[in-house]
Amino acid sequence: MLHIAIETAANAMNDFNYDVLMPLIVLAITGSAALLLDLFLARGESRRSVSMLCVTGLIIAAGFCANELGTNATFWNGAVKIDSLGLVGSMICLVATGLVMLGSESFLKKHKRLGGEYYALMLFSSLGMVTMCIAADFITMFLGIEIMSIAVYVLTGYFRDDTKSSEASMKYFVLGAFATGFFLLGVACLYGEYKTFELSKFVNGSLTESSTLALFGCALVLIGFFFKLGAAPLQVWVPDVYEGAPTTVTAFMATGVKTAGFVALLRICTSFTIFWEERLVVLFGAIALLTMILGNFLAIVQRRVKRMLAYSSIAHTGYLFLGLLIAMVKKAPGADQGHLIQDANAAILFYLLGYTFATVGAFIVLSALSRGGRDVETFDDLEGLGWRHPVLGVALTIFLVSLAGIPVTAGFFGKFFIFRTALLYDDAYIPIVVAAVMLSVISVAYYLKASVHLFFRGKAYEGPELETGWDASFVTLLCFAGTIFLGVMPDSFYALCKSAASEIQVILQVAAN
Amino acid sequence: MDFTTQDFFFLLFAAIAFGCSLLCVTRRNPVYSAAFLVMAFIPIAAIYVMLQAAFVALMQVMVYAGAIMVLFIFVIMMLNLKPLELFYNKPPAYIIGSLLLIGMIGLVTVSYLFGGNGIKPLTEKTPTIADAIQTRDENGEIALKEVKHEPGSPGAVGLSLFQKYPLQFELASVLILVAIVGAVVLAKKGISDSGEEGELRVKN
Repeated sequence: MLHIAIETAANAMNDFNYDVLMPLIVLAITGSAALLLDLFLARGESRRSVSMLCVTGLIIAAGFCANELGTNATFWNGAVKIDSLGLVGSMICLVATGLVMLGSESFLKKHKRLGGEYYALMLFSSLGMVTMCIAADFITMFLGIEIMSIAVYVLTGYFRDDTKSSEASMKYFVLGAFATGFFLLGVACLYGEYKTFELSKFVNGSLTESSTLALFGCALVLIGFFFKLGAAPLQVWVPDVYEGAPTTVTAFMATGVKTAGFVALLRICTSFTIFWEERLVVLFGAIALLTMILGNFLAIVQRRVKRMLAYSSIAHTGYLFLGLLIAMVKKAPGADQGHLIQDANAAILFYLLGYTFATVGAFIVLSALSRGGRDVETFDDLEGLGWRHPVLGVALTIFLVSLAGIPVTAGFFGKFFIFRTALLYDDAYIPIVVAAVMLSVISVAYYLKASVHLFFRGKAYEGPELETGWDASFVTLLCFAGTIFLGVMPDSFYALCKSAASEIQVILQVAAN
Repeated sequence: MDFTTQDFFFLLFAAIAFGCSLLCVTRRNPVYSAAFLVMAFIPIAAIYVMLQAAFVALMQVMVYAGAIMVLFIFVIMMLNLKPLELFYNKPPAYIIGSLLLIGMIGLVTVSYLFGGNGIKPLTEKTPTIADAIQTRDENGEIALKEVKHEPGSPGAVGLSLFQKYPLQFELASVLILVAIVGAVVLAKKGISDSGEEGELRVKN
């Protein structure tokens, strides 16, 4: 008995591989170092050094992620799953964080709110995102969600003297706490039914065989995720929070949080055989359609640019749900299913990266533009600014074109891959794909409204020259390059994404047995 | 379905917890709400004991019913809150919320009672967790001694925390660090470069 106890402990220890956690360790150390470095800087002094330290940490973490590509195994007693899906997802989150951090300094300076905590919190938030991406059990995933969310709640209210920012933070926090409650109760129900937290052990059982408890648990977990992702009908908080938050934080929320949420949801949905039932697929289809319709139509009537982008992000959640739907559907031939999920995964990851470049770019341009020392809020505030800042104006137009899904940009191929995968595998998707295509055509109307205001409305703006900040321009150029690169050579990244589904085939084999 | 003593006590504690929670959200005076919250925590701790989770029950009483509640009461006293009218001025929201809650609970109850595939009872007993600790035997030599921990006891919880879930334990510490930094960012005075304190600047 004694030997068994020691042996079990020793066996467990072998599983504790610190190498696979290097991205998390690097992020945690850099975040703490950033907090300490901040203490040596006086109030009002530039925090560029903190920002550079954090970006260095992000690059090293992303390097470790890239280094691990090709691994496909579970570590830490089933707590983390290192595979391409999680690693590519983590890297997208890290890229989003890095871009936002690089572009934040001059915006914070403009609002007289410099502080190292901003960067440290953003870095810790990205640690939570990476945790979510690689989590293989519900406890780890929950901790990842909470680390990410709590940092984002605080960042939303970072402009403490601004009532709108505080209001947004409060709304997000209270509603987010409710969503967390739903998620936790769901996890508790699932634990009660299956007596485990590990996602890979939920493969047995179908909708009809499952108990009420399991179904209730699944529903509650989904509610938590739908809230975080802003899917209809839980999207009401999105416009208020996106509008109230500091613009750079909005960029972070719209990209990083969404990417991490989708990777985690993808992992859950492809693990649970319960979710593959036809009835639940219909539910996901209805949510995808409703989210797309609500997002696109409400975006048309907005007068404020940030609100318009918030509704557009809801619409993009809808398109991504279409991808998720494809990944979930159960197909009769087992071999086909693996390829299907692989394609759907690749399409979603590609979409997320393209969306990240375009969205971060658009929000960073908005944070850099200002009129008479005031941030751009309504479309009217944009009038004539295009001639004043031609680089930013053209870049914003390209980002919006990418979000609308017009060729030669990343957004086009993102939508193309999702729709193509849908049509390739099942004719039943034709109506929803047609609806999605029509809605993205409608979206051109509100995206290009911003460009029209930038260049073709009003006189060229003659106000005082404003320091837009080299950092914002630099990030804009990076996002611009990313958007065009993915739009011209989509294969390069798509091939990487495509390797991201190998683990799901293993699950399928388990489910088949 | 047999109605055991355990079922009776579960229903009793659940009813007390439910009633107190309901009173907690419906009282207008925040001090009463806080008091009912404490009273809701205690039967929940009793349910934890019934689930063989003695350590969690202990923590529930000490941390939640004790420390956190004192904090709540302090905050309420410090803010000197008046009885809230806010909720009752919005009857539609009140009614819709209540109906949704009743509907949800009803749905779960009905499907549980008549669905035929309800919650499976926990039949197998949770095994005791064995561990080895270093001790000195009667001759003063270092020896390993086996220790058994009852399920749900502090020893068992500690062992599973550090042997089975060390990563999650570390992540929780990051979570707490983030929360502390966040609280400081939101609460520190004069954090703005402009040096203005406590004044809200309204845009537009």
